[in-house]
Amino acid sequence: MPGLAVIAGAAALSMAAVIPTFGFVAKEAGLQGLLDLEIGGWGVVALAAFVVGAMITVAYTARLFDQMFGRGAPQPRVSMIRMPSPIVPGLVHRAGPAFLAPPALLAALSVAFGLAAGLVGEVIAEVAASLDPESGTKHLVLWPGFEPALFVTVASWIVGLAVTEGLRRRSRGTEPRPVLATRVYAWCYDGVLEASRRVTAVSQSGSLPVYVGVILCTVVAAVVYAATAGFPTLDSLPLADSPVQAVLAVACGALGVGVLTARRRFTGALLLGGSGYALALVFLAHGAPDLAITQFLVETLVIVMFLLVLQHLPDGLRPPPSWAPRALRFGLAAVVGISVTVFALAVSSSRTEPSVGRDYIARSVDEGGGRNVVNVTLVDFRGFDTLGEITVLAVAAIGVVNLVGHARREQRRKRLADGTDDLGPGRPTVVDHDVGSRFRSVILSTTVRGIAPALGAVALFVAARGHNAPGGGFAGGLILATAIALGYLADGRRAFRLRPAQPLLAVGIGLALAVAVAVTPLAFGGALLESAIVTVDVPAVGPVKLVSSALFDVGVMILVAGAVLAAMAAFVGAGGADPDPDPGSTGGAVDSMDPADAVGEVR
Amino acid sequence: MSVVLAVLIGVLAAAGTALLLQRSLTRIVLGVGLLANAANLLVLAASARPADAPIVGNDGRLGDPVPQALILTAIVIGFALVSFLLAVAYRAWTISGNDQVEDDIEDRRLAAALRARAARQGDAPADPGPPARPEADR
Amino acid sequence: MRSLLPLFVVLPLVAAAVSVALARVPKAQRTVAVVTIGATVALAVVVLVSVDRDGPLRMNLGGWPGRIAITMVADRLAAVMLVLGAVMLLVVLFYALGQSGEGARSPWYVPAYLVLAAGISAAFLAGDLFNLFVAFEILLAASYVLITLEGDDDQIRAGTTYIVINVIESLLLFLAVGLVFAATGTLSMAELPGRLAELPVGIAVGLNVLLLIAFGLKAAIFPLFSWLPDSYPTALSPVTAVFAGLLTKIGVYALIRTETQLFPGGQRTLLLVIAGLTMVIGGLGAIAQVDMKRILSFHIVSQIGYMVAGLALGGVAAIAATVFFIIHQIPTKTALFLVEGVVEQDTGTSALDRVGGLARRSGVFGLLFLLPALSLAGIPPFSGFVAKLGLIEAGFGLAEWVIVGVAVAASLLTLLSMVKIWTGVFWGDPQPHPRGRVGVIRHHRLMGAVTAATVALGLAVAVAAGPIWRFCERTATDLVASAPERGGDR
Repeated sequence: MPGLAVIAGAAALSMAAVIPTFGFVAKEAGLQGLLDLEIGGWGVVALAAFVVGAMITVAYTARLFDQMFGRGAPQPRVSMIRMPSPIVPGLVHRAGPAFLAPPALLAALSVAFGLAAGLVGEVIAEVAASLDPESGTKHLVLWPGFEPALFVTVASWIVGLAVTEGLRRRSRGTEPRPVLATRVYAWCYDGVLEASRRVTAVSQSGSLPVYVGVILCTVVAAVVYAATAGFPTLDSLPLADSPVQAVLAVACGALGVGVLTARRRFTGALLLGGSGYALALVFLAHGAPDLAITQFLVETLVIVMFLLVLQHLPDGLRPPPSWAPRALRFGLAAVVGISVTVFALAVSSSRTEPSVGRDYIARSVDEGGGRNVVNVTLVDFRGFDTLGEITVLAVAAIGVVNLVGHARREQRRKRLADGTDDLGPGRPTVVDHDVGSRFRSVILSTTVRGIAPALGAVALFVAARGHNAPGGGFAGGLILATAIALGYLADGRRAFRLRPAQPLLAVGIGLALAVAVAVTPLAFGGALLESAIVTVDVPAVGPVKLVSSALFDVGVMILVAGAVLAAMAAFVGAGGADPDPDPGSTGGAVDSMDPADAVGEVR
Repeated sequence: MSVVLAVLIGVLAAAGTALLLQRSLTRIVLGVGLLANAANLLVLAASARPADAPIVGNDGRLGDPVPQALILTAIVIGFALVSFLLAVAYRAWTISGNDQVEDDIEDRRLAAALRARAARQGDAPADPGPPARPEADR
Repeated sequence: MRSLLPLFVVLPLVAAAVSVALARVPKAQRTVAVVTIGATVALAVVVLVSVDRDGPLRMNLGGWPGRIAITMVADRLAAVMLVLGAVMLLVVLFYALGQSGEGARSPWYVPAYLVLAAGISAAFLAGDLFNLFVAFEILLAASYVLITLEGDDDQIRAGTTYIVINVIESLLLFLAVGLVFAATGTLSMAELPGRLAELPVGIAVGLNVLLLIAFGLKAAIFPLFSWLPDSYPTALSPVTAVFAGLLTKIGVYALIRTETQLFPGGQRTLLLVIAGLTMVIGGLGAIAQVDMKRILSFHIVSQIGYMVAGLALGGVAAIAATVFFIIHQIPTKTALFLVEGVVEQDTGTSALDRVGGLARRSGVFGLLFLLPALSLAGIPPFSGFVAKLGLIEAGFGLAEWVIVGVAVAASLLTLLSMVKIWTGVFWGDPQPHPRGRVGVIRHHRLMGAVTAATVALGLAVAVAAGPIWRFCERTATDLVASAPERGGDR
């Protein structure tokens, strides 16, 4: 195959830096550059490496060319790791022109570039200058003249060819045996594989408790590391700020530890709630009534959520896992508790400057339009945080509806498959199971029916007065959700006919309202969430100050109520024991807004 | 910060941590609840001493409203996360009949392969790793 | 111009609210999403150009003066991250629209995705430490919904790991931010550096390391990375792509802010050790895997090590390299996961031993994998080579030989595992596939086109390497110059 040989030859010459190829020009320039440098320690090493590299290049290029197109491989061949199957002559066929063209073009280029070295050099100099403006403008030339670099290059040709010939002679008649480099390579490769397996087996235990443990150990290490850098000495601390605080703290801590020992989910949830209530009172004693209210409401709702979920789950908690000795887990827990506390103590005694909160208090009434600074902070000074917070709530509600919806669909499929629900979803079941229970709970439901609207009124009141007294949109929303939920519950649990997707609509409306209030000032060249205070003269009442940020709080309230209701409706409607709970609805499914669900029903 | 509050923070954090290091998702959620409470109390206690509620018009020294606002935000976010985690627990239960957090299958497979190979070669691996299965579930 | 900043958060939020109402009308939902994210792309480009020309944009929310208000700030770093984030979100959105499957048709995909977009933008623009925490919560909460979107066995198991770990991260971040406030009395990132510098050394170190742990968990650095390869692979491909491309980088972004602005040069030695270990252990992990998605997930970890290394080396050159690395990494990583998604869509699996010969069935498709793969492995002339070269040069400049050696070795590990994917998935004889389809691109036109566009974006980073590199140097100069000098621990 002479054509191929010519192409390969040209490329090989370029690789070996034989004149007049571009490889020669490039190598020459590189050598010249290195020789021009001041010969320091690293310069010599680099130069030596360059020269040795050039020799080896010549050697392997010559060997490659010789064996492929020249005298052929010496017998027997030096074995590589995997011996390629020998080429059967009959199978080698001429490569078509399309196949030869790309290498031919490249080979031709390497020669052409060499001949036109000056021109190419200018382009390269430009690129080099753009990368490193201080790089000199070296010009590439084909014939450098009898410079030291030329002699080095020529020497590399000679040595390289000699090495090739020597190797050829030496390999003749010897047994195939892995070259040292091959063995080193194989050894490295196997080592890497082995290392990767072992390291990964340790780092990827796949066990969540182990991952959590690692994180907690890191936290402890961080505190210890910081402590070695030196904590300030603590002032003497009061034992307790007030006797009430001491009592509440003991209660809170005891209930908290109680959660740890609970053997039943139900007990655990109640103890957590109890601990949270005690904490709410601690907040109150600390001068944070808004925190106390919110903590109280949230803790109540957490208990309700737990109960709604736990009615489905088996009640007993299994004994703790055996993946690690109990002592280790409790030891780590204790160390985490201690180090966090120590660091908190150290931090609390190192405040140097007054809090920005002083400015909030100073501006709250005149510019924020409210006396309750915490609420003004939430809807005005730091309203953007609140916007984020309700977004989190909204998206979590979506997630709950989504996951519980999946569970419901799967259970319905199972029931259909079992034949226990052969009437199919969406059609009325035979009897109204609720008749009996509804009679029994008539007193309860009457009471609740009376309470629910009252609670609704309380919710609005709490939300409305939030700007000037403890309360606000969030607390109002939670109470509103409770009121609505109670209203439904008054008809018995079965009749909790809210589709989770409906309250989600309220979530969307609340979010949209809050955002709309936030962006309106932008249209007038103001800043996001900039508030306006309007004084309206209401007849018979007198001037009433209206703050635009109060409207923001309304959005918060709607969203919170919607999100909580969505989650509750999802959990109430969930449950394997429940037959399809909503016989009256057209779609049949409680979460029938889900198109995937609708598809499932058509099927 | 008073000693009592410091100890309370430590106790809540330790109890929460111990719950977090378990496999039952319900326990983990309970642990998250306790840890969130500990963190909220910590931030409040470390930032401000007890004072009057920051409502203009109250007598006395008004407390710092900023940590309170931060913690309010954190309480709400914590509530959202706990609700979502409960939904995950519920979904896990409908799938597997319990709410245990299982080990990653792929990790377990690789570790098992390594152990099997080591056993074939007759030397026990230096680090046996965690058990392939968690404790007996049923 | 500064009025544009809130739009990056507000627009997606409004769109999310609207799309909840449109849950019954998937087409309208999708249109809303495409229009919204498309608009943020355009806005982001405008902001980037403006910031690069005229300096940072700043908006005090609520119209309050700076030290009181929550501020939104777009400097060069934030602006370029905004652009990258918005573009990737748009690309992956199109990809998801082209995908068939139950998860992508969920009515909650679009709302959660839009909230994710809002959270990501909010994180980039945060000029207030607590607001950064809130932004993280937004994007995390949305990511929880997305990772469990299909709610099947795998997703719940892996999702639980992801959620629990990230809830712990949230707790730590809240703790760290709350303690920063407790120690300094402010949350404004403009005021914090001065006040943090006045703190006793131990307190400053403690707060610094706590923030590093919280952000490092999100960025998946050693030893806090193990959750990532266990959880990412189970999500829907478009979800994994956006998580892989963007979420870890937000962790890195926060790390950059922490180490250059809040605690300039605070923990360099520590970070350097972490960076080296992250690179190597991530690379080794990739080699041990036998599943394409998992290999790619380990690469995420390994590549994070490079970014942290630049941050740890410090100085303009190294931080410029980190920024360049992020710019290279986001489209490249996303592209690889998009390719993986097509493989999975086509064959129903991403296990190396159950797929094969895809290159023979579609050469173009093979190329779409090969180009970003070579780039990621740091082969010239792709962007990954420029990124690594920049980093190694910076390492040489600072005479940090060890990290240079580790970086080179780790990139060999990356190459090795890429070869593993290539031989497993693309080379060899085509395997019989359970779904019995042949030809990859033809069946997934939109997915294929989007993937190609993402690959092209990655290549564009290489083509425009010069200007981008100079931009990165300007960015790094801002970051280094903005930091008041402070005695570090070195």
